[in-house]
Amino acid sequence: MKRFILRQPADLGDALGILHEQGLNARPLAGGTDIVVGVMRDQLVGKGMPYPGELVDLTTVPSLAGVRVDDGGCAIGATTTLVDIVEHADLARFWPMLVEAAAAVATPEIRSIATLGGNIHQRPRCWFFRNKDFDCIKKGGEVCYAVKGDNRYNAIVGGHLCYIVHPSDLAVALLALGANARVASKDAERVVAFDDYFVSPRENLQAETVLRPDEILTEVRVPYASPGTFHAFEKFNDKGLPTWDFAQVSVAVAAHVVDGVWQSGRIVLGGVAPVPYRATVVEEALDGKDIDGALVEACAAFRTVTRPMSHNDYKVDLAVVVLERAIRKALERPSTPTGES
Amino acid sequence: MNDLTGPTPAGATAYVHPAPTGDVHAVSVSIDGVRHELSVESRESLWETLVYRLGHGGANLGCDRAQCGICNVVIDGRSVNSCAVLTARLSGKSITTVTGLSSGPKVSDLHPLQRAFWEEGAFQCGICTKGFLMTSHALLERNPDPTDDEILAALSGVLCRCGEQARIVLAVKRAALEMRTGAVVAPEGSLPHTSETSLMPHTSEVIGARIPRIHGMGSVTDEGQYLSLMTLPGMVFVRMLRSPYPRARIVSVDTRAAEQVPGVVAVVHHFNMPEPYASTVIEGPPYRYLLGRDLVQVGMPVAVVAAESEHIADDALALIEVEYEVLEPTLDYLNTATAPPQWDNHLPGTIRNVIPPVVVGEPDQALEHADVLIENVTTTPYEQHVPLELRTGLYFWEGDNLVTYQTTHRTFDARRELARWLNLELDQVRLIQTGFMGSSYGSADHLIEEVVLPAVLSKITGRPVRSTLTREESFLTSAHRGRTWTKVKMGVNRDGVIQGVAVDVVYDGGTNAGTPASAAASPGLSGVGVRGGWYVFQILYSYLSQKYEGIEVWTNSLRAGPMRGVGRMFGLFALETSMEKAAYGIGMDPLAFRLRNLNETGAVFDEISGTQPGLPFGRVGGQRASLERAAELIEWADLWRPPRGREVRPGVFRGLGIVSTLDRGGGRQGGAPSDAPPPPSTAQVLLHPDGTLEVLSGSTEVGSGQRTLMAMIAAQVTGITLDRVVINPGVDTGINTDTGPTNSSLQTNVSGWAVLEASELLKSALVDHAARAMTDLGFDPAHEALDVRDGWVFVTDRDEVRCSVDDVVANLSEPLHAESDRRRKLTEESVAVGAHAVEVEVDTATGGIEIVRYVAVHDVGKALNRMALDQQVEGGIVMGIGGALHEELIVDEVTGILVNPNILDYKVPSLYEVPLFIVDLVEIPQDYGPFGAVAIGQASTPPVAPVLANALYNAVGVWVTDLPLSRNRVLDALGGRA
Ligand SMILES: Cc1cc2nc3c(=O)[nH]c(=O)nc-3n(C[C@H](O)[C@H](O)[C@H](O)COP(=O)(O)OP(=O)(O)OC[C@H]3O[C@@H](n4cnc5c(N)ncnc54)[C@H](O)[C@@H]3O)c2cc1C
Ligand code: SF4
Ligand code: FES
Ligand code: FES
Repeated sequence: MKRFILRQPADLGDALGILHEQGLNARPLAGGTDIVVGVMRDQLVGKGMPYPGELVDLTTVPSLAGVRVDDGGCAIGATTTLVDIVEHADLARFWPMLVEAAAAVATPEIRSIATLGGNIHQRPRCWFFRNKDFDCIKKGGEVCYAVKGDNRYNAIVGGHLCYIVHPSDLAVALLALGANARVASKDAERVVAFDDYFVSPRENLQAETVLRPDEILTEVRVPYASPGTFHAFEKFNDKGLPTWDFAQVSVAVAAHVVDGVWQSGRIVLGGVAPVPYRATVVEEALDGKDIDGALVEACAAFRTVTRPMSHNDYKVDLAVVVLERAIRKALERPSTPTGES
Repeated sequence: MNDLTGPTPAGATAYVHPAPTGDVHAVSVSIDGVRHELSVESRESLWETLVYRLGHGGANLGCDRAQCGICNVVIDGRSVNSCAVLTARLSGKSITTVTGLSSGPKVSDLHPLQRAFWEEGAFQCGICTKGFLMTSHALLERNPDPTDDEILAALSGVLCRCGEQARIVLAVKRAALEMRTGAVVAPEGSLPHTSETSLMPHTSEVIGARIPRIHGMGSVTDEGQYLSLMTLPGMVFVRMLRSPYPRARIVSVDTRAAEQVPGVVAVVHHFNMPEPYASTVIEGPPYRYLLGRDLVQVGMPVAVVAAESEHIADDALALIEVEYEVLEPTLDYLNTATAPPQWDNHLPGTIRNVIPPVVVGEPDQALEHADVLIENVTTTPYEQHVPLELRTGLYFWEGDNLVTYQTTHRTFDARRELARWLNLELDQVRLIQTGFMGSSYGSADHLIEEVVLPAVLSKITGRPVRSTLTREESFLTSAHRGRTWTKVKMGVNRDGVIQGVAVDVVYDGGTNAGTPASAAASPGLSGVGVRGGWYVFQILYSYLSQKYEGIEVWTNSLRAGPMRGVGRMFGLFALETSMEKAAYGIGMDPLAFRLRNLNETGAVFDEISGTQPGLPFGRVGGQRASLERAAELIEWADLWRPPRGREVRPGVFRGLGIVSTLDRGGGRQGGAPSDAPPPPSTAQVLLHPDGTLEVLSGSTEVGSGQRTLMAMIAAQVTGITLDRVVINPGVDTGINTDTGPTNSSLQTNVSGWAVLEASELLKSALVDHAARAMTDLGFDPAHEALDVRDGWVFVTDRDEVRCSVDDVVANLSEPLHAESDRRRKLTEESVAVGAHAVEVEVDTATGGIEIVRYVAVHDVGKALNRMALDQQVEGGIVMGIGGALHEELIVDEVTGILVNPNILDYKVPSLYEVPLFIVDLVEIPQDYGPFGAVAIGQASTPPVAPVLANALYNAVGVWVTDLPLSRNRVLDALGGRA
């Protein structure tokens, strides 16, 4: 692979200082399983995507790692590894869906070095994007090769010029959990709800989040479940395996249900759109209804928002099925403990 | 540790990796308990540090992308991909590799995991073993008593392409038990052993037993000389710049900037390629030259860089400027007749070959008058073997002679090809295969530029060279199973008799142009691809009339070549789905329909030449017995229902499938013309004065146990105990004699015979030699005979009168010696038959196919090594499952670029995808095989796709006849019906 300079700052200020000075020439480095092993080794570069001259190691900044649970919920540092999330007893108790999603990511080897921040910010897996010989729009080129090519894994909703699906399993769960991102740059800090964190190609062709090049995610905050909320994460990949491969469709559900009637909730799909996709059309169809009676029709309502490409009709069918299953799975479980319990 | 035991450049010391430059970091790490103060560049991975910088043999390399897990090591208690971490970030960490797992060189020093893997047969080629061992080790340290699910979850990030998943789980469980209880558990059916260096039993009665790999120690420790771990003193690395276009002409190449990069030793391309290499034709037409100007496929080499490290070579590649004239490629294999011609072709467009049709009887009439006519169009995609080891070659010259180490299964053939392409005499090339390699499954056929160019660079630079293909390069350049389209028409009468069959094939040979000298070994040109498919039809069932047509076409996509049975895969898929459709067409039970129409006579035409009649069919009875046994094991009579007849949960259906299978190995090689001589079979055996029996055989080990089998045959025949038999793991053309390649399932019948014959000769020499000593003990040579068993020479019928072999040979001044040089007869072909059956569960909502039970029955003649045989069958099925359900290499229709040349997107089967297997054997001995054995190496893969497609139909009543049967296709087919 091409050369780069590895910076290992000891505190956050230094890290942010480098990013501030260098702009896109320096990129944050967490576990490195995507940026080094994927993006840089595969030489994914283009006009809109320079090869990083420097990598800023965030794992040498101690304050960015670790899980804190307090009255308001939990705060998970951006460089916390996925295995530390999976094995955290409090997270498993109060945020089981987050743990479920983290456990569904990739392989045990990757989970032992990949981080929360890296998982959220990993680049798309569109196979044209991942091949250096396709200089596609997302990299700054002229053409989206997915339009005429084999787009079986591409978006069925929300594409525009570029038809990626967002690859992160954790992002889907975080959106459904109503989590917030804490973001820092050299001079400022801001908190962004994950609802507003991911951007579609319509807004920005070259990036998948609202982060500016000089900003990093420092921490994710997840609130406790409100009483009577049921959670589930369901993932379907090509082989129907629990892990190892990216989702063809995943669904995270947080449902506030009383006596079988949907009061409120969030239903988020992964693998279908350039962002983790909140299926408000399904939520609305369930609103105030007895779930048993309304479920099938409500999930089918998802079809109305989709616009499949030439090779991925099947994903619409699959999404409807996974929606039903995820919602059923949530309701079969006990409600998630709140902070009080 | 990576010191080669074979030849190395004269006068040289150990390899030293260049000192880091640029962004250098000081790191202090502990590796296997030893502290290292290292200085590394930021881009150096832990794997590179281990193998290149430290000469450490503790981790193999399969992808360099965190996708296969064979490079796993343990860092601070957790299993980690050593390719995926940068050494510069590891200060203060403690790393354990397989080197740190055992405490010494003896069997008793092995960690229980290592021993269990070896003894349970948890590997074939062993390239994945270090990864599994380290990951299991991390697991057991945390969880000494894991459940099956916990084992699967923990190991799910490591792949085994040989398909030993089930045994791996078994081995981990056994080791866990041993570690908890302290007791050593012997695996079922294993023979006791006493040796400190191997698991070979102290008996000569080994044929038919379960014998673990004779050189398994090398796979479970860091000792096996896998080439990806090997270095040569003073070596440079080569890397290649590759064409991004499927068809183009090179206009100019500018290498000035690349040559300036410090550490670059040479840059070679079309315009500075020296003679005689520049004008050597490798194949054609269209003619392909080494670094030629005309590029015919994506990934063809344009320039080669030799540099002090792979990173430096990559830096240089990025600076080479090439101007291309881009030409219109042929990408659509179903429309080649109208494509612009690319060579002086006497056929339309880029059609390569119209295979002379074969017609028997009156097929057109038969189809017209049959009660029911079915038409079945099937397609199969590009598939690749994906051997998990990154293909590596080492090269150095001694004057005008080349010495090279290769990961190949065809040691002697590879030498021949290299010699030809380098303009050398045969004896100027010495080629060594170390005996340890990530099994190739046929992918190492067709040595093209990748293997020749490094030799040229070594010659030009005067330096030893190492070349390792990246995973992407391996997907681009090695041989693939070609794409096919097949249309079958089958006419059947209601009484179940097949009136006629007509088969029409389009076989995409891609850019395989065949060698110009002869059509041998080039399925792209010789018609073998197409005929291999026809053969399946004519051998398995009988038809009153038959017609076979087919063409082979050229496309600017990938090179087609052999993969576990040339032509068998598409042939069996087309045939067995047609048989199923025909059975349903006349309302007959699919099993009864098959049994009704078995071919039990012979071949109506020869597979390779197409001439009539073909060889008599030596497998009478085996196929019927296999089908009946498979039906019994899958409980066909009780469980079979018409389509959609078994809904087990809402929307979830079960279904059954059953098919026949065959393969042919032995006499001739796949691509050989019909009058070509069969491959040589040679072997030598030596009985040394210390009582060890040395077997010399050129039979190349590819993981399936060839070397173990040769040793077993020698032990059984000579009567010397297997623990006293030695056989070198590797094959060296400077030492061994040619005994054919390890492909087309032929080593058992080729080299096996030679070892058997040499051993018989040796045994009679031994008996002669023993006679005098035995006479002193009361042996009466006039009326009695001697025999040898379990290391004793004894008087037949009076085995208490005996003398140990050791004593008999102790006073020899030189070893007893015997050899065999045997040409097999063409009639000594071995056709292996069998039947597979499956029960699947199909979810109409998700399109998912789950295998509930899988039954494989093979007529093997005689099981020589039951462990290796089961492994072969299981491994073939696992590979078949991958191909049937998920694997396909996708070439972008617009640009011709491969879109999924990586392990993740190609979807190699994981640990989770291994079903419950039931393997059973039918043993009807054949006198053309040693001990009656028939080679079956390639018979267990092709039936998997058709049996699953048939079971899918039986479950849910829809056909998918385009492979793979992936979720998207199943859901599309279910369409409105779900
Ligand atoms: C075989 C395989 C299978 C996989 N399967 C899945 C799967 O099923 N599901 C899934 O979700 N993922 C999957 N992945 C992707 C994997 O999860 C990601 O590679 C990983 O989570 C990235 O984390 P990291 O810490 O290594 O990130 P890095 O590679 O270090 O960084 C990734 C990106 O995030 C940026 N970044 C990192 N931290 C921050 C931060 N704090 N603030 C701002 N930007 C930051 C980096 O600049 C970089 O662009 C798979 C990967 C592989 C190789
Ligand atoms: S979908 Fe986006 S990433 Fe993929 S080819 Fe099109 S532009 Fe590139
Ligand atoms: S995971 Fe490291 S080589 Fe494949
Ligand atoms: S033994 Fe696992 S890949 Fe060969």
